[in-house]
Amino acid sequence: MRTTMPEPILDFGRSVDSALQRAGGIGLARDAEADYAAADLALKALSQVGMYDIDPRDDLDSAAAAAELCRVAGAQAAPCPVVGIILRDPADKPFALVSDECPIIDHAAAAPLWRAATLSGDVYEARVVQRTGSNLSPFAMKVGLTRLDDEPASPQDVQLALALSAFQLLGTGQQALELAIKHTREREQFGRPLSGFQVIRHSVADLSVGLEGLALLCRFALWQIFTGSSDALPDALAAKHEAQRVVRNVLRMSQQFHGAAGLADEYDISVLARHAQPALRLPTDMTTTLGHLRAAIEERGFEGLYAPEHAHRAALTTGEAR
Amino acid sequence: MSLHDTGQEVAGETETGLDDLAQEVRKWCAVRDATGWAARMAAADPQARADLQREWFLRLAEQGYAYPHWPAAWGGGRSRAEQLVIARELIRGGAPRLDLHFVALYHAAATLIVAGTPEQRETHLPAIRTGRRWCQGFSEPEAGSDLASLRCRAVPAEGGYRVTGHKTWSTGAAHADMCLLLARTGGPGRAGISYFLLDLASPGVEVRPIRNASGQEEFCEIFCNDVFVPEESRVGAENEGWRIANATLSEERGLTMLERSEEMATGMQHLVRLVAGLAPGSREEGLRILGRYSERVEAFRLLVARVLDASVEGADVAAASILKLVYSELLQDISDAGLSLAGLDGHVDGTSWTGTWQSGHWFADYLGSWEWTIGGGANDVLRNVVGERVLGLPRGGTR
Repeated sequence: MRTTMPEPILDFGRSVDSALQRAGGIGLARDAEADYAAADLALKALSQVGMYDIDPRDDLDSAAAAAELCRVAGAQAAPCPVVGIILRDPADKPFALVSDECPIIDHAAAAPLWRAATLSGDVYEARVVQRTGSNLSPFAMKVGLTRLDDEPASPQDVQLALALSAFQLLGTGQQALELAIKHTREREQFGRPLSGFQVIRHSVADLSVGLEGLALLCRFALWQIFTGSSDALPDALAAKHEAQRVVRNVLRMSQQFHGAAGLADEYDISVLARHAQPALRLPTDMTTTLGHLRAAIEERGFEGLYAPEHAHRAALTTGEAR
Repeated sequence: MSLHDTGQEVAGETETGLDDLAQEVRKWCAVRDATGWAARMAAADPQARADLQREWFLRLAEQGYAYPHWPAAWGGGRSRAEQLVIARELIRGGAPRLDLHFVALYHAAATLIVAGTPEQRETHLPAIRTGRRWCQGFSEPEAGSDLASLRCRAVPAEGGYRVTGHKTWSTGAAHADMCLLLARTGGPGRAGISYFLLDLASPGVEVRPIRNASGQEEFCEIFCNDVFVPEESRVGAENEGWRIANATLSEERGLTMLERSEEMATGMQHLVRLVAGLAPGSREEGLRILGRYSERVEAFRLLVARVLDASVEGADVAAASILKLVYSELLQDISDAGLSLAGLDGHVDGTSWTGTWQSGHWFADYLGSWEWTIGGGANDVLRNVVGERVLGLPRGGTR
């Protein structure tokens, strides 16, 4: 696996970023709460940079481009269901992973009908029933499910949905870290910037290390989906679980560094933290995701970077060297 | 409290007459439909909610339940055990949280009682009893954790001062009548700050609400543009404001934490109910979480009792800081665990205002818990207080 994204993909990410920023950046999410028409501006910007031309199922490069787009959309809190749209079906129905016990889809109102699947692959048709009505996740909506007798959802779709959502959270976390760094550099208390206090520096450093690890795990999951010798579900679940764990912490810490401003919607960090909640908690909360991960490992094993045969080989090599 | 006391005695259960009091409050809650009030407030718009709060507050006051912690001369005089019973039964009865009266009942009252003149007490304490609301004008855009660097200025003028400055994060200011104001009358630092009682209806005062993450407009900015404040509205001597603020803050922190700790103990029922409803596969994890938090909540209640015992001979700022530190982080952990255990069901609930800080409406509770590590002294600052004043560590870079 390459540990860095290829340059053309990064370049693509930069163009997605500037398109979203031109359209209004994080302000779009704020605006969309007052008038959902602002969500169309985000869709338009993403459409212009080619969101509808990417099919991440094609190959690793396409999947990487989709991942980069999701990451940037997460960083800008783009008020639209990017992962769902990227994984839409041939009839243009967006795709979402749901829990069949309490089905909720973020931005469900963006389409009249969705194709939904549970983590175990049961396929449903979903339509909006009601908004959850929470300020924490303003566009999350409860949906009604109709079971379809189709084939089970393709494992690739399920895994990509998890991995792309992890990338989206990664972007959110990276943005929250940027905001924390910017704020702690600018904000002065006790005669010096907050970033001059060691406890703040240490915390920011920890957040950054956590995000680095997450970024690598996300890339690894994507790579496994296309090239892994075994089922990549555990890898996709691991990336999603790590994203839920790391990014929740980054958001809380960044808000804490901002003080009361971190809870005021005039500041981007507050908007970012609220709009990230659905990705942090859907289709399953962190605890439940971990349960699924455990079950998947038990059932399919967890090859990881150092699969037993590799480990074996490494041990042999060491032995020879000795 | 001694080592031979039991936990129950700490909580005041052995005092006579408490059962009767508990029953009286319980009955009163049922007659007054405490739960219905909380539901009405959740459904109301901000102005209507403010009106409803005043109405509910006046009923509590009439019954002697609104300020049992005040001195007897001012209509309180309940023992700590009695205060505890009243707080606990009101919370159990589902009574609504009176956040808009909070500063008046605790912080303003403590300030007036500890440091006010007899005239100031006569003017303001009866008014609080009839529903006058207060807010706090401490923080400024450039002076949050570093409060001593505040810039709002009070310049001597005939008969008083003229105040100019910008306060922020003042909770409930849009619905308040009066403000506890810290302003600079002297040189830089702590020694140049005075404490004032500002009438928000004074010419030159402007209040602007700030929308927060819960969708409410609880925080406000207060702009003072050449506002006249009469000399008799200064609390204590000129430039004594820092000392007074410190003394009254800790007074307030200890007492409110008594109420919060009871609320927390009562709030555990929501977690219990949640765990009881878990599928067998998740039950074990749920019980582990329940056990962990039950322990921490009990430890917190004991800590509150210890701090209040110690503060009989004078408030201990550092000890009171520990209470807020423990409470805020525990509250965040519990509501986070609750939201996690409730799963997605915890999301489908439009309640954005709840009767208490722990209501079992997990998304609202989780969101409401965020501000606790910031308001009333950010936890980062409180940790410094503990390090320096409790542990005697050398002063760090905080001055």
